[in-house]
Amino acid sequence: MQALLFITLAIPTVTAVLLMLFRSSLATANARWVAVCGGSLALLCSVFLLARYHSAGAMSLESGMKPLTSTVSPDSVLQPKVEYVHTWLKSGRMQLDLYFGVDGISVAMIALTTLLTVSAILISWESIQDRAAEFYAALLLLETGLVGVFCSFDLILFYVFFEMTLIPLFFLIAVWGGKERKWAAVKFFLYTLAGSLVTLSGLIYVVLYASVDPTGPANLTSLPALSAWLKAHPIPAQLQTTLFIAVSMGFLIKVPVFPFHTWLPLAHVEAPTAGSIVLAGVLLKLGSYGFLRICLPLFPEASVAIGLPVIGLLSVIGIIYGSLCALAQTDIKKLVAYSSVAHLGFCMLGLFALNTEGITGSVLQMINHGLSTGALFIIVGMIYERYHTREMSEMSGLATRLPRIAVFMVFISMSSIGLPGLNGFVGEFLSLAGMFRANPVYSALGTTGVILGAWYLLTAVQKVFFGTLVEPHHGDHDVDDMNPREFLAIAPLAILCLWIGVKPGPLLDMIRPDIKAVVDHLEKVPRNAAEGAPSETPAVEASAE
Amino acid sequence: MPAFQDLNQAAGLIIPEIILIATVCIMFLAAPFLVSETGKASAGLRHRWGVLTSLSLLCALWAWLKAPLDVAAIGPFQPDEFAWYIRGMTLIAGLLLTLILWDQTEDSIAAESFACLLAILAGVNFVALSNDLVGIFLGLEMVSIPTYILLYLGRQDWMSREATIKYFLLSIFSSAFVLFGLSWVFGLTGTTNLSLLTQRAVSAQPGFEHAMLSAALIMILAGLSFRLTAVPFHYYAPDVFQGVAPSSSAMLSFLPKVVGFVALLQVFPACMGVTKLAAWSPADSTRFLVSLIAIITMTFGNVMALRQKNVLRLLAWSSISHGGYMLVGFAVASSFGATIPDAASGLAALMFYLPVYGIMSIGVFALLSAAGTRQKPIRSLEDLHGLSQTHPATALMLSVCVFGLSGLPPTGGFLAKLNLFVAAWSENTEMSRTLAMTLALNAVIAAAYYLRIIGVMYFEKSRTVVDAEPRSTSVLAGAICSIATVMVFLKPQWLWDAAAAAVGLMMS
Repeated sequence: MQALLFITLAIPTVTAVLLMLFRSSLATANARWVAVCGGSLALLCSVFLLARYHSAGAMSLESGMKPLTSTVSPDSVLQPKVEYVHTWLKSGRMQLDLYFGVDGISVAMIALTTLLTVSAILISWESIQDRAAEFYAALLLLETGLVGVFCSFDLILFYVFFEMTLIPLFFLIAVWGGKERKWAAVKFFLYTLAGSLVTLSGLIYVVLYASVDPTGPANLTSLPALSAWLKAHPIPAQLQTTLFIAVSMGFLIKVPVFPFHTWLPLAHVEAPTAGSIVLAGVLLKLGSYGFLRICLPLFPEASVAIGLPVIGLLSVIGIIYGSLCALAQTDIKKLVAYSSVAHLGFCMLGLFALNTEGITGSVLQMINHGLSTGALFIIVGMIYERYHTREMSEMSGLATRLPRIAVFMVFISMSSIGLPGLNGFVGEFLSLAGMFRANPVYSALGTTGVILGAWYLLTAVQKVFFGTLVEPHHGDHDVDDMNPREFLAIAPLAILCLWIGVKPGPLLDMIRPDIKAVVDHLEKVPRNAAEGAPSETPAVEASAE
Repeated sequence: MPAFQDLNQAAGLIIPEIILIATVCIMFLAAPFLVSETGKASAGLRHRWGVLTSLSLLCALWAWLKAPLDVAAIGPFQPDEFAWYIRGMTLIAGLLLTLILWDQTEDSIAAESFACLLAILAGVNFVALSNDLVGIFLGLEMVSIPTYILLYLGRQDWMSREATIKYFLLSIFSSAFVLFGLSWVFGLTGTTNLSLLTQRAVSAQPGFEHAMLSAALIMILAGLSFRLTAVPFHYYAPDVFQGVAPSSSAMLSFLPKVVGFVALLQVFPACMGVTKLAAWSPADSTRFLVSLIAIITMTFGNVMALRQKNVLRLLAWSSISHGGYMLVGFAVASSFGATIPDAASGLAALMFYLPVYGIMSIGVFALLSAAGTRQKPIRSLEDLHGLSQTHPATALMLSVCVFGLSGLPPTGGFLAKLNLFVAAWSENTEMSRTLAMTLALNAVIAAAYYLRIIGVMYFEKSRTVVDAEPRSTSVLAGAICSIATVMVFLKPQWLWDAAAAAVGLMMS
């Protein structure tokens, strides 16, 4: 399984390097075939990885034995089941490792990444004609960075991959984006870089905090070792709060949580379709994943003390604000972009409920949002490719012209809204249920987001696809409905939406042990903060207006 | 004849430098006879001189590899681990600079250009090898004087002349400061020998002498800050970088910084009576001063770089800010390392930063010179417009080096900055924390203008179709640098071990 993990990580990189090397001799047609082969191979590997991980987990449930050999101490909050450790740079007390591993959560996220990358390649098939080889190389490098984040269990390695995703996405937006692409790319880059450097400072502080203590872990940057050590030697509350805020900074911007979201709509609107798919589908999850992997295990008291009230509140504001903004948009891509802010709000709300339901819901929401918003961006891209506009006022009744796209649009919208039986429902319900136990007011306010979500998405569907047929100007010939290639790009996402909605069991089984470890750790923290919650109510309502 | 034997032994310690100097002599002597009275030379003469220079550098590198490490100081030379590290770094940088110069120089002046470069390299090595204040000063001058000639040879227009004169005057001025400071040190201790000086400095009592020593060190710091392009001694850098040929800018961005830090690390510990670099850290007053200079240099360099339109000026400011980053390592030194022996040390981080910065910076200038032509060299950012379409490979390699300078993974620049940051952060004083935070903040500011370079190459349409003459050796140098930038990121351990050994940090 180690080998499988490496191959998943290596294939996109190798394909990208090949594409760059033979850039000049590859025509667009060939470049995209190379890219799709590389992407599919990576997808295949990650599916194998998922399947083997799942079967190994099932076996261990029967026999009650630890499934795979692991050197991680049982005290650790993070329990990667597959590991590969190799010393990278030992500079004094600080030792950086190439520490790759997967657990249930990361294996699912890796599969999501590889799947969305293939969809992104397929959807760019016709629309990217200019410098195609470089485009696909950037997309595949982005995939490497994302897979790398999900499988690194070393703090600095995590950060390295976290930063590495910036460069390819910067190019994707700035070269192949819309009119305002340069400004969007620069804003995205500097904003997220500034946040992640604060995160890095916080991470290094934690590492050095452990390094001065003679009982500190031998390997300071290893996340499992560090979390096990901090369990026994918690950081003093005051310092923990400061560090929590510092480390959160980069993640808050990445998610993005309410006041830090301004880069996102611009980046989404200007990015090419493939960029939007990966940005919304996976890249934003790096933020919530970072919270889950680093902030909750390392700073449990601060998570309870300020994570729940403050970030919970910001998420609620984000849900309502994002939904209202989405409601006000006339550009359909901007609408989907703002809906991302709202949906990620649910994800963060669940996460900072800090109980099993909430975190499970949050992880599900990460995957669900990846699938449904990825699919929504694919549909927006299809419409834009046909009519070269995204203004909802210019189109109406497209269902008669594009019946197959309309079917998918309705289906995906239902999933995104959270119709029971589809994936969105499971994730949002669990998140809100978890939050209800932690703070009913937040949960109640968050629920309004579901209603608003239905409002803006259904309005958009109704405006664009139903009513009398009004087509934007698009040349003489009729536009074609969805072709097999586009079908191939979107169908797997739709199937997964249905599958997770009907039968979330296998997925939940897979992520349960990892979430349980985090929750057990968090539950040791005295929850006196929960009593303070009702006093927050007036503030919530005031900001929600 | 014991004197002769001593001389013989001492010469045995500096074989690489002797090889370089011998080549310099041959080139200066032979070159005038190969150029006609009107200044015409047979076509392709520069290739012969280039081959000779490379051969000489390779021989020097071979001699350096074979040189014994653990020899006691003989006469004026002390070839310790520190000198070994610096010599390797300069010789390899010398090879890269030779490759850039190969394309840039003209047949008639090739010999002199190459010879000056070799003399500069030998000068850097002498400063590192020297066991004597006089030797250090001679080494510094051996760097400066050929630099004037090299700068003047590169281009012959008014900008180049202005740049050269500016550099010449300010360099002499700074040398005078260094010499004045060194003579005070001599006056106080009565010796120029570094090992003797160390012994006598220990017995220096706090009081008048101590204050004089501090004043002397501050003068030396001021003089050397000119070479480090530390604010406020940086004013020449943008004008000079803009005025001279890219090959000279590449040299100026790196070697003066090396020689400046080497001289600082030779003189400062000795004057404080510390023999081992690993146990040394600056006195509180010096540390405060250096930290202040570092903070101002980083920030000022980056903020000024933001508003540049000329790419060479931009890189000059970027080079200034990198000087500031390195000063962080010098300010932190090893006060933390003294208490916990294997903790991250500022000096080791500095030693790691120097070569990484060197390859990235030389790479950027190599590729800039490869992208331009003799008639139309790259000057403003507009000249780089659409480089990704006209020269895709050059643009890609240039972006690797530029991302390296900005300190993003996956480049060696990231690890170099990380080491500095960790060293500063772990020292655990208010000043060092401020330094670390300033470093992180500056990385963001710097990203803005580095992104602009990337931006114009990739996101702007090409304005003119520049049909560049093939500049294969510059491209080769750029390719080596950009690959090395990534390789250092992937395999950093050996470089760190060497850097730590250079400052006497024993690795477990």
